[in-house]
Amino acid sequence: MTPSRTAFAALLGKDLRTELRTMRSLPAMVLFAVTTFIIFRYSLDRTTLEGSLAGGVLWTTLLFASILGINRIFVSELEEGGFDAIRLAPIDRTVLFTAKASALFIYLAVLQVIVVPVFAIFFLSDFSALIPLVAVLLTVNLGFSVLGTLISSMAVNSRARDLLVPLLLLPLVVPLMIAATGASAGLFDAAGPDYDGFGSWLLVAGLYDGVFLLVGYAVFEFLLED
Amino acid sequence: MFDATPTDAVGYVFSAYLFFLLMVLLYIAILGAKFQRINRNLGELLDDIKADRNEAGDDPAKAPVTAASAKEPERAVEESGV
Amino acid sequence: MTGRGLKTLSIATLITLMVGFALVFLWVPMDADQGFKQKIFYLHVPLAIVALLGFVAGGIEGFRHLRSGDRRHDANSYVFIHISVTFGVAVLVTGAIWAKASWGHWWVWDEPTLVSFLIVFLLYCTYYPFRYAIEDRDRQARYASVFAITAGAFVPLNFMAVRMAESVIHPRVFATAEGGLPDSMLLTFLVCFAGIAMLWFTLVKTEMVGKRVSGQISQLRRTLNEDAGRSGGRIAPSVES
Repeated sequence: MTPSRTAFAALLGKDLRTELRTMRSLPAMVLFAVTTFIIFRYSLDRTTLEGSLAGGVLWTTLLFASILGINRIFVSELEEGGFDAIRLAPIDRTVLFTAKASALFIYLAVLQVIVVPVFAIFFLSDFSALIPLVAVLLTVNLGFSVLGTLISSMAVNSRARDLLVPLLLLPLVVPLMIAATGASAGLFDAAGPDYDGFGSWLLVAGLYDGVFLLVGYAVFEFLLED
Repeated sequence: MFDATPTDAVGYVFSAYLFFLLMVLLYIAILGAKFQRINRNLGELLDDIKADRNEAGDDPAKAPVTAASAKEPERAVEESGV
Repeated sequence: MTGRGLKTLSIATLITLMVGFALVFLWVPMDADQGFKQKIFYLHVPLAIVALLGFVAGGIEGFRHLRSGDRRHDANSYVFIHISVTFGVAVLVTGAIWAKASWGHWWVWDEPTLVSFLIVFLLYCTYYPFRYAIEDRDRQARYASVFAITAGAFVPLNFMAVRMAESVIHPRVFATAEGGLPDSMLLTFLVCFAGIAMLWFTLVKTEMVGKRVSGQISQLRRTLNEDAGRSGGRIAPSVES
């Protein structure tokens, strides 16, 4: 049995190389996010945002931009027969899950590294919220990656692949979004970051991540069976 | 805080229970439709079996369903004990 | 779940529900705070609790299906979720009627239980398009089980998150059966709850019977077609014994 770590590294490396080589989804995700910010500026008729409004705009945009990317995660796998190769390989099936989720985590992190500063420049008058925001971003990323991988791998074999991922994913991430907006609303406060309730919201998001990590880990191999 | 007047409240409560009743009736109606479809399918099935048995009677060389096995499906349906 | 005992169960359900509703409208005292409209709860809350338990049971059956490969668990999972979604519609409508009676609006975001339920309901509505988008029967059953398990895990998390969000702003408006209910109300609630739960089981059994019969007919049809050289077929989950 190939040690899981080498298999994991190999799969992860392959995914990152593929994405970097073709630059498939990232530009679209970034463009989507920036355009959405512009639309928000005009539809809300605001040039600065604070509090829960800032959090709402940021998280909604990140959510939908992320879904664009999640759709594509397994497409290359399906098209190039990667699933069969992994099924035949003598490795623990769940390595695929961990590798995919990690790759997705990194994609989303890259997306956020680009998009969040743009958001800050567009709408925030003071950047002190950004440091604690990283904690929220990382926690939410984990949840997105785990659920995104799970849902995407279910949807990839169906006929309406592009529709199914948003359809299934959106209700599932609502609690995570509630926690994210709850945690960040205080951070964007006009008077400076307010940490009231920050810890408990992060805890909820963390709990959510933990539960779905376990669920995903437990059920993923059933998704690979032929 | 808005609060319905007592007579309004009665109206609301009854419409809630009435809706529930209607949903149950709707479910029964759907069941009825399903029943009809099942009956129709069953009828077609029996017709096809009879047709096949007649064919077998006309042309013993190509008997797709023998008399013995033709009895099987009918008995199976009766005995399904559902 | 088989069709056995369906007749007895339906009669028992009918009697229990009749007794329950009689208690609601003829016996139990009026609630001091909310008045007559409080009586909606004897219908709304049992429906909600039974629907949620049904969703979780669907997840459990999904788990058992993955574990054993026995298709009957998949059929159970499908039917449990189907009936619970139907009950869900009733929960949301009765909830909206209550909201209108209490707040003057057909929907209120302040009531965390109702909002949570809406989200759960929306999620389970996606079960059907998801299921029918997968053509291969075995894969469809397996993926549906994964969905049922994931969604089952989601239910408590969802309620927790929404609860947290609301309690920050509004105090709980909705007093349910836990604690502080006078005995007469508790009794009425329990009878109604028992009736609704039995109704759920009755509907589940009925649907299972229907599926079984359809499945057997399909099986017969296929056997007959094979013998005679005809063709046909469909995708939906079926019960063949």
